[in-house]
Amino acid sequence: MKSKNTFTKKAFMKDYRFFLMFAGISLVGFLLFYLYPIIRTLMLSFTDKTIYSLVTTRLGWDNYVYALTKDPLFFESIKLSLIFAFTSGIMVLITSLVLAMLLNQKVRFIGVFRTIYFLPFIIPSFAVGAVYKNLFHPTSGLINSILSFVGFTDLPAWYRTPDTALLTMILISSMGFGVKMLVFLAALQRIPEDYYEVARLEGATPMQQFKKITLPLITPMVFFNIILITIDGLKAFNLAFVMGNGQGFPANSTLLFPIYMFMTAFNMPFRLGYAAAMAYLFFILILVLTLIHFLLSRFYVEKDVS
Amino acid sequence: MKKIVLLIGMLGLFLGISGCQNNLSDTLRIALDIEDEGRYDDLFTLFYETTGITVSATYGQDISKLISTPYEPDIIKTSTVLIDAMYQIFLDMTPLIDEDPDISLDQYHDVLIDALMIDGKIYALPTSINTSLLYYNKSLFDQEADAIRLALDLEPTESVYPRSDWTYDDYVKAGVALSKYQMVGGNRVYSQFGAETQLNWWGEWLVYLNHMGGSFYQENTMNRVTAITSEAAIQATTFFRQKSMGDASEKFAPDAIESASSYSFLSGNVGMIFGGHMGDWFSYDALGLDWDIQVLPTPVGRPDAQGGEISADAFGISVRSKKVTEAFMFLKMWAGEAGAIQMYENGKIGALKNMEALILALPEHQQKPINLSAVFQAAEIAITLPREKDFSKVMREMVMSEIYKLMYSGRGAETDVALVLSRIKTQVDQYYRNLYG
Amino acid sequence: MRKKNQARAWVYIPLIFFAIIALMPLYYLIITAFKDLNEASTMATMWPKSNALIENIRFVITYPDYKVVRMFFNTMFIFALKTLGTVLTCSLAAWGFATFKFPGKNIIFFALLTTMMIPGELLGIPIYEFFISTGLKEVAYLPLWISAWFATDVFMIFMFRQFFQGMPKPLIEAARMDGYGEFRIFFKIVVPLNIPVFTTVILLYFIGTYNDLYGPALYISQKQNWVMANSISIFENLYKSGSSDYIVPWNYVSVASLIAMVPVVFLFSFMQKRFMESVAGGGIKQ
Repeated sequence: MKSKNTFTKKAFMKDYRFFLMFAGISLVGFLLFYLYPIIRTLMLSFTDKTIYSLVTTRLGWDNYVYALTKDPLFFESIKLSLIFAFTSGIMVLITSLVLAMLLNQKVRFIGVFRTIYFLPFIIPSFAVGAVYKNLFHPTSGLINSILSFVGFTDLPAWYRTPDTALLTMILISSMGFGVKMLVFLAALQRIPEDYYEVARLEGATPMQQFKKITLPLITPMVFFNIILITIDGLKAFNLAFVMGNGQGFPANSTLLFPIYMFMTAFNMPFRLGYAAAMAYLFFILILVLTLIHFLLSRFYVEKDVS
Repeated sequence: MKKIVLLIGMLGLFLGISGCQNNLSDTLRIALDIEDEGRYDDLFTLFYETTGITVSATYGQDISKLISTPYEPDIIKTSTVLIDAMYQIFLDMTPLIDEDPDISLDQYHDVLIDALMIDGKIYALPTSINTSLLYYNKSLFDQEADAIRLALDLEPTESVYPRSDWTYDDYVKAGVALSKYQMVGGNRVYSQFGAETQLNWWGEWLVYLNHMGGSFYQENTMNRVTAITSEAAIQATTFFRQKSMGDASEKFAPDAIESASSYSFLSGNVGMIFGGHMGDWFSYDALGLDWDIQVLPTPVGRPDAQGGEISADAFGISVRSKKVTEAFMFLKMWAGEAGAIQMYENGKIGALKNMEALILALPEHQQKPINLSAVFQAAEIAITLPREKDFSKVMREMVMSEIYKLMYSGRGAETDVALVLSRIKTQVDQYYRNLYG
Repeated sequence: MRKKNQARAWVYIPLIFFAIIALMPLYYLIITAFKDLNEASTMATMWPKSNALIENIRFVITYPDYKVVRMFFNTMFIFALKTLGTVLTCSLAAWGFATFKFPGKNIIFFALLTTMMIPGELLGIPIYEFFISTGLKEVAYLPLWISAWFATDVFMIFMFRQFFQGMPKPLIEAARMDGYGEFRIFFKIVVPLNIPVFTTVILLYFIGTYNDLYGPALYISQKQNWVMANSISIFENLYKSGSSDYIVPWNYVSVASLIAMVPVVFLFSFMQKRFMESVAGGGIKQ
């Protein structure tokens, strides 16, 4: 052991040189595409820079103050993003977990169901918006057709009115339970079969087996995933961009934060400075969530071991 | 590995050079709407002949995306409605205008200049006006002349075309006379309609609202509280609805579903339309419609009611433009008399105060065979839209989308006008409360 | 035993319920492609009354702006450059991290991993600013693939590294003894032994590039540069006049969507298992 740990200077230099030859480009990439943007965005966030401004003035903390105290759309978009991410996250989580547990049963045709649940993902995400708009269209859509067939009279206008537009988006993104289900299924299949066998030998009913084995083993994963999914959902762009015509249609009701930022930074008049400040505030939010996630995960991992 | 890096480097260099070359061209670029395709070509030629500068346009392309491409515009379109939200991208033209003896803001209609000014600075020059008018299809009127004569109680010698003193009653009667349907299985199946239903533009509905004494915003609320549950608003919306949804004696316009299946003024099977956009003249001519214009009808007993809308298309110079002098020269020509006369050919009426005189001075063959005085009469009494930067968004996404539900029958449809209006009010007021507290 | 069977029969109720939900969009997509314009944009029929599929397809593929072959090859151009860059630089970097030993290596690797947490919103602004100010924005789709050549996809480095760490050490040592250079070892031994991970990366990149909406929305404007992501909105906005989108020709939109699905369906049917695994893996990443 000892001899392996002590490097000769020559060996070290050789490895170091080879490392740079192989991975050097990633360090350059890190400098160009991560470090530079991080610093540049921070610098921009203290200015009123737009693509159309002839002179850029330094504003100090003004952009941050404006976002936090004067810009209702900033809070609105963060709020919508949180609602969207959390609700659709939980719905996907529960559906996919339940389905994964069902598919984990040794029933017939699992393969078929697995494929079916996965099928929505062969629709390219740029077409998803159009496909679901067709489905949810108040007059020519299948959903309302089914609802009225079942006997509902007061049919919602779904994505066309501010009341229900966000709900529609949550429902649509909840329909994407297929991928998460595959992930959970893999996790469930990793639970050693011995656990169940021992339980059966001790005379446990399937319900008891579920309560004593599956649930405790699954719970940490659920909590672990809620925050992870929420963080992902906060970054959701494609669906909201298509459903909201790129501007939170109708009437800012689907204006998720990434859309609002996109509009501010990359549409007329390209307020890069203000968008940069918002991006940093958003980053802080993500950091906080990640921290909570980190703390929770430690808590649950410990519990899992005991 | 080295080879690859070298290759990429060279590729980058090559692309960089070719990218720069594109920017070197000395063409003046302008961004126009898709419907403007070909419309200003004569103007560009005229400018080339007088100055030797080529003007080239993109049509219907998103300006945000053209930025930093070889097609990035020097001159950008705006309007009295959009200027509030857009002025940051325009060069302040006030000093240019002050220094130039050839141009003065006094030559334009005052309301338009007022609408284009922001903090006493002017960012765009108005090139043409839009005002609400009643457009009618002469051949349909001729075809149904007997029915109209009967409905309006006209003498055999009198013209059946709309008159400047028409009331809504006359409008309805003529409209019903123009509508034709057959009974198929207990349903009326129409083959032509008296008037169009405009659900994609708020103008028609807003005209009724204003004409009947209502307004969209409450006074003294900085345009943040709506007034659309008023008696006038209910009356106006009911009128708008009955026109499409009423029984045979009232209905003379397609409902939303019928509009969708190609009943329109443009298709020639609808007799009248409340038009606000003069750019449509070009399309009407292109389709060979036999059309004319008249001032809007007014509600019975309110002959002086104001409601028609006036706005102007305007063009400004991009802050990023490197050809400010050339761009200003072009705008000056365009917004001046030479440009106005040139544009009149294509159905645009310039924003100059002396526009009517300019047109009348034209030789006979350049005159249009339409009732031009109606334009100037209408413009005189027209009003500008409320100045509020989210106005069009609110109208589109919250107002018209709800009113739309009143305009068809079947699933998801609404019948109670007052209910729909109060729902809109709640939503719009909430929207402004969220924005401004 | 009988009781158990009963319990199992119950299992199918939720399974079928969710299967219907999962199939609904696809079903309606296909049904709508058969409808004529009037039916598709005004009626919600669960089974098409009209059979206008052929006309719809003809309308879509002959529509002047819809140059689908060009759009497809544009997409493939971006895909090729992006994937080549990532596969090459990320796998090399991953091998660098996996084999060579020196103090501080893990710190560098951890620093790289933390970048995954930074939201794209934060990184995008200066990059956009750069491409605007240099005028390279729409030159050969540069903004869409250039970063791939600098091993910026940290997740891919991570994934390659996981696989490379499982390589048998003696094999590499033996190759070194035989006088193989480090690059030769990588290209002659490491790459051939890890073909599955390369396939997965390529597949993931195909899906990622093909589906990408953000990049095109930001960096593509000229019609001749349009990619597949632009193909749907052509028809969605066909009758968009001024401010309305009440009338959407869903039949054409559906045909265009189905055409856009062809490459994905093709991949899916040939490599279903790997496809599902890759997407699920990518799902974890995002």
